[in-house]
Formats: sequence, C-alpha cells, structure tokens
Amino acid sequence: MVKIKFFIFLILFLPLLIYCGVNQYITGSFFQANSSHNFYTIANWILLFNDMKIIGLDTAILQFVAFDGTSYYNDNLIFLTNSYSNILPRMLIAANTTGVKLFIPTYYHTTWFSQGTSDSFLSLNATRNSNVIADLVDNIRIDTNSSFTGWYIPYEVDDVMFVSPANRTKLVNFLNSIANYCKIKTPGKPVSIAPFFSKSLSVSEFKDFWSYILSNTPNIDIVVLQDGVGARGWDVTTILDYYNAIKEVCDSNNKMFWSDLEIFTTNYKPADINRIKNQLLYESLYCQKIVSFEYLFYLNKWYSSDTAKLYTDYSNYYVSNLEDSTPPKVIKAGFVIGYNNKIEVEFNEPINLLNAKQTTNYWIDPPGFYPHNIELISGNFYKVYLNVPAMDTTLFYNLYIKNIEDLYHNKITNNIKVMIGGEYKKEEPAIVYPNPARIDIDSQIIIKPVEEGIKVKIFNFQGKLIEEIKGDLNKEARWNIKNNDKILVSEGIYFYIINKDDKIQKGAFVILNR
Amino acid sequence: MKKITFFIIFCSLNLYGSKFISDFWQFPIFPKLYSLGMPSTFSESIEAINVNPAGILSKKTQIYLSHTEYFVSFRSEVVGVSTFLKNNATQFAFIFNYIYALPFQETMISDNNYFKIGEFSVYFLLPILGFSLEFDKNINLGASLKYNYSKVCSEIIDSLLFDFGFTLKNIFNVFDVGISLQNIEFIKKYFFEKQFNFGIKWKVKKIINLYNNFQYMSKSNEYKTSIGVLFFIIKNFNINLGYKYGIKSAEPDKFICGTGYNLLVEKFNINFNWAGSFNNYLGWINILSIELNF
Repeated sequence: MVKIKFFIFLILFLPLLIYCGVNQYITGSFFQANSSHNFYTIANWILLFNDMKIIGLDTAILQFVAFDGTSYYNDNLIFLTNSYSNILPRMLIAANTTGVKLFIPTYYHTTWFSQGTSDSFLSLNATRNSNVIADLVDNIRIDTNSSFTGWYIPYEVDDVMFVSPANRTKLVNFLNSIANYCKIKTPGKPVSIAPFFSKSLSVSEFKDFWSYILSNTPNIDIVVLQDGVGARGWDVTTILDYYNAIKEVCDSNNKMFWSDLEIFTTNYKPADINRIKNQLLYESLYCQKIVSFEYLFYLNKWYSSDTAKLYTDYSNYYVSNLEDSTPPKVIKAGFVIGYNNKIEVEFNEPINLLNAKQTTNYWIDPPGFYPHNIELISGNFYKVYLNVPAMDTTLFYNLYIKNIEDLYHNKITNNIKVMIGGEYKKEEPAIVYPNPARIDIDSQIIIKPVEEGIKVKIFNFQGKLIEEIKGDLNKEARWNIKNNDKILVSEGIYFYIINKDDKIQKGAFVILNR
Repeated sequence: MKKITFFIIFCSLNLYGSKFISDFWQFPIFPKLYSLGMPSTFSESIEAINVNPAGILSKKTQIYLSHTEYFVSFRSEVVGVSTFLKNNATQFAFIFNYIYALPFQETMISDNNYFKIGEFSVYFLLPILGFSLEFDKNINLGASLKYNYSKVCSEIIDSLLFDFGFTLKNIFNVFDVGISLQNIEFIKKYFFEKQFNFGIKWKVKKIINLYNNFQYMSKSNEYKTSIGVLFFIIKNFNINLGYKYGIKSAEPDKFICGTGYNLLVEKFNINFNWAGSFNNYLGWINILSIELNF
C-alpha cells in the first residue's frame, strides 16, 4: 500500500520534483563549535565562512554559546563559570567581514531531555535564558554587528516529551518566555527553533500537536525541522507526509519553514553526496530554506579527508547545477575610507583572483592614476584593493574594469565603467585601535584617520601632556605607548586631541596591564 | 631629608598602587575643596571627607549635591548627608559618588585589519561613610570607610579602604594643622596608591584665609604642593583661588578658581559653590554644588 502511494506520488509530482528540486541547495548550516575552537583566529573563521559562501551557504546557526556552566564569550553571569571567550567575538567579526548571516543561540542545559518537563527546570532555564539574552545584547552588544540576523532557541522540541495537554502548555509558556524576551531586547529579529520528530505520532496527531504549539507562540518566526535522515537512518521519502503537515501548519500560522538537512550517517560520518542530493530533491518541495547539520565536523574541508571529500562533492554538485553563464558584476567601487591612494572594488560573486590580480585589467580616466599594484584580501574572493597614486577624493573619476572572470570562467569582456570619488569632505571622527589596549600584548596604539603631518597630543587622565605624535601617509598616528621620556606608561584612561585647521577633535581610550 | 622622613612614615605601608584606580581618586568632585588646592586643613564641611575626615565636623546637618563636568565626556555626581550628635561632639557623614563617561568604542586589530567590536562602559561607584570627633574644641580626629566599585571594559575592581586624619586648630589663634593618611586597605585585593597629606591653614585676617598643603603619593613617588586663598569679599560671598604644582607628578600644574554664595532663608543656610580650572588643550573642568545647612 505504501509502495502504491509512493508510485502515485511520483507520477503526480515527478515533473515538479525535476523542475523545482534540481536548483535547490543548502544555503546555511548549523555550527556546533566546541572548546577547541577557542583557538581559532579571526582569519580561521573568515576562511571557513568564505569556503561556505563559495558553495552557496550564507547563513550560520550557532548551536551553543552558553550552556550548562560554559560560555563561548566573555560573559558577566555567575552561573557561567567556564568561558571559552574567543569563539563568539571572533565568529562575529569574521561574519561581519564576510557577510555571513548569524543566528545566535540563547542558553541551553544538557539535562533538557531528562528534566525538560519539570516546572523547576523550566523556570530556572527561562530565567537563565533571559540573563544570557540580556548579557549578549547589553554587554556584548551583538545587535551592533551587521551579521547578527536572528536568535536560535537551542532546546530541541520533540513529539514525545510534550504530547500531553499539560506538558504542551508548559512548552508553550517556556518558548514564549524566551522568544518574547528576544523580541523585547532586539525587536524585529526573527526567533527560530529546530525540533525533531520520532514518527511516534500519526501525521494528523503530529499536525495537531504543532498547530497548538505554533498558534500559541506568536514570537517564534522560523521552524527548522530536523529531517532525521542522518540521525535515525530514515529514507527521505518516508518523512514527506510529516514535512507536508508542518509546512501547512507554518503557512497557516505565518511562520517560515526551513529544513534541517542532516548531512551525516548513523555512524556520525559525512554522508554520501547522492543521499544528500536525494534529501535536497524532496525536502526542497516543502521548505523555504535548507540548512545542514552541521558544518564544522561534516562539511568543513579542513577537518578530515571525509569532510573534505563531501565538501568537494557538494561543491561539484553546486557548480554543475549553477546556471551561471553571466560574468561577475561590480557591486561596489570607491576609495577606502581614510585613504586617497587605495580603491576598493567588490564583485557580486567569487572571482578568479589570479586573473583579478593583473593591473592591466583596470584603467582610470582621467589618466595618470594607473594602479601600480592589486592587493588581495586573505580569504576573500569577492574584493580587491587597487593601490594607486594619491588622488583628490573629492573629484570624480571613471574606473574601467575588464577581463575579470568568475570561478566558472565567465569573463567581463566589455569594459565595465564605474564612477568613483566625489567624497564629501566631512570630518570623520577618529577611532583608536585597539581599545582597550593591553600593555603586555599590544605594542602600539593607532589613531585614525589623522591626516599626514597633523599632530595628535596624548594626555593622561589628569590632563598632563604625555606624548605628541603625527599622522603618517596612511592617515594613521601611531603611539608606542611610551611617554616622552621613552618609558612605558601605566594603565589608565588617556585622552587624545587632534588639532586641525582650528578644529579640535577629542577622545578617550583605555590602557590595561592585563 | 624630606624623602627619608616620608620613607620612614610609609615603610610600614604597602608601597604599591594601582594607577587605574588612582585616576579616579584624582577626580575633583567638591568645588570648595578643589578651588583651594585640596587642603587637609579644610573643615566644617562634608567636602572634607575627601581629604581629611577630621574636617567634616560642622555641628550642623548638611545635605549636599554636586556635579562635575570633567574632560571629554567624564562626569561625576555626588549626593551626601552629614549630621551632628549634640551630646558628644560627633559628626557623621555619608556621600555617594558616581563617576561615568559615555560608552567607548571597543576596537581591535587582527591580521593588520581594524575592527570595531562594540562598545564598553567606564564607571566608578564610591560610597564613603565618615565620622569626626572633637576633643577639647581644638583637636579633631576623623576616619572614613570607603567602598569602591569600578568597571572599565571587562575589568572590575572592588575594594574596601579607609582614611584617617586629625586637625589641630587655633595654634597661636591663627593656625590650623591637618594630617591625613588615605586609601589604607582593609582586605588586600588590589594595590592602591596611598596618600599622605599635611596642611596648614593661616587665618591672616577675618576676611582672608591662606591654605598650604603637601601631598605624597606612595606608589608613583609623587610630591604635590598647593596654596589656596579664600577671600570673603562681601558678606556671604567668597572667592577662592588655588595653585597646585607637583614634583615628578602625573598631574599638571594648574590654577583653580572658585566662588561661593551663602543664602540665608530663616533657619536654613543654603550654600552655592562653583569651581573651575582650565587646561590649555582639554578645556574646562567645572564643578557645581549646593549645600543645605540647618
């Protein structure tokens, strides 16, 4: 009977499958970092995010940043006693740089599956979630990061633990307490959950269960359903009724429905690409977006030979299905802020860097400003810097670009003309890097932008002049953190003054000694 | 000789200090005291708690508010109350001081790239509880207990400290002498810069008081001296002038000026004060206060 149903299904939907499924891709992934990732540099994360973007993934859902007593950032909460504080800040910077969209998780406790229905557990965890959300927003200021896209509530809701009416109510209250607080702290940012299912309920019971949950949680915006193909070894065709049911519930409750496509096997190894293609083909019929579980240990090309193979296989699948016959387009061109001798050019897709490095591919009108060097940015395939002679940034110039090609050898044949310059001469406030500075780590402090030759005076907190420095060619004033007797200054709060054309710019920065 | 003397005085004390906290200790929060060069002989006001708690004895009840506009975006607010026990010549005072600034842009450099990470805050909370006892009308002893909680980025420092001091008044009917020791730690958690203050007040005439003060900072081995003049120009109106200079000091030499006006409303005495000093580059420091005595 099941086989007949499946046959009828295929007859009816095969054309649709072929039409829709063939162009469906994974466009995001979960990231389940652990303590070892505390040693990852910003450059490491940029590299990973760029790898991810090359194969079409633009979204990263972090699995944990605060769980049990551990945090992945510099928290201010007493119940988080163990901190791997580099992970989240560095991921945020890398995501800001590469344009990856981040979903940030709230708090999680690993006794969820044994104690998740207990009132005391839910009450304690609701409070801790509020604390973590407030800490992330008020102290870490994640909302100031361009990459911060939304929240992820990491408690995995299933269709066993909360089936009884009393437990459904508890679950709704618990999810609402977290989601509502997310909305209060960061209005407009979507909140997501990633439930799984066990097939212990019939499809109609499953649908009823989720109707109740989603109709009573107005601030949950995205449901990312785990497909169970990896963890439980199910054939993807056996989950489609459940996918259809939850899709209908999401549609009627105005929620987005995403699929959490498991890219691992029941032995927790990277899955075969053919199985993943099959998952994509079917799941894409129901959901608005497909994210994989997970990137670091199953799709990361630097982790193991197995993960490198899956990355390569998926990349080949992605590229072979791309109907990309168009050359790259310039989406941004202009002087780098604070520079009059450096032009930034950004493309809409990854470009062939060897080809982009040729200075003959660029021309500036009026002549005389021929780029003498093309600077690449480590790990960034979208952007180049043209180093040119000093130019008046308030004037307009035409920049011509040709012969740049994308990774699929689609080349810009006709010159692209973009206009650069015309900057309004506004007073850009100076910023100090790094701030706070640490005497034992940082050998200098940079204040920028400061025009060449312009003096910057440094004062201690009591207003005594400590040192005087000048802006250099790069519009930076560098201070070696020593006073005018060449003695390293002590920790404290310092002031600076930039005096240019009778206009004074003042600011303060901090030096710490630990 | 001077150095040897002070070395002996301080040899039993901890000679280390935290520059970080010392920044905040130097923050001017009281206009009358500031405009006279922070003399340890300053008396009859809650403001004395900041330099020599023996001077808080005023035999009045005082309610006190002050606001400081410091360099760049730093500000301070003070609320205080002081009360007198009539039977045994004892004065208690309490102030709460909050120093803060606009959030700082948090930045870092990595792989030669510049990043803005977010913002961080800087603030300092200082409640002080002090008392002063009078002996024989001319000798005052005082002590104060200070709790500080300061935060700069993720650095938090909190500690419990105390100051003590005494004043000897009406020597030859014209001189007062004050001595105080500041920032002695109860529980040693951080290293604080201890201060020794010695001052003389000379009542030259009824309308002129001269203040001379000497200050020694233990950790940075700094010496600072100051002179201050208080003129009662007309009834209930005074002008203060001070000059402060230092040897090996982190504080720049400076002139300070201030004015005060007393308004009598029935049994209430309302005192308005302003003090200011000007830095050639960073601009003015302004302090305003209002004090209600009854």
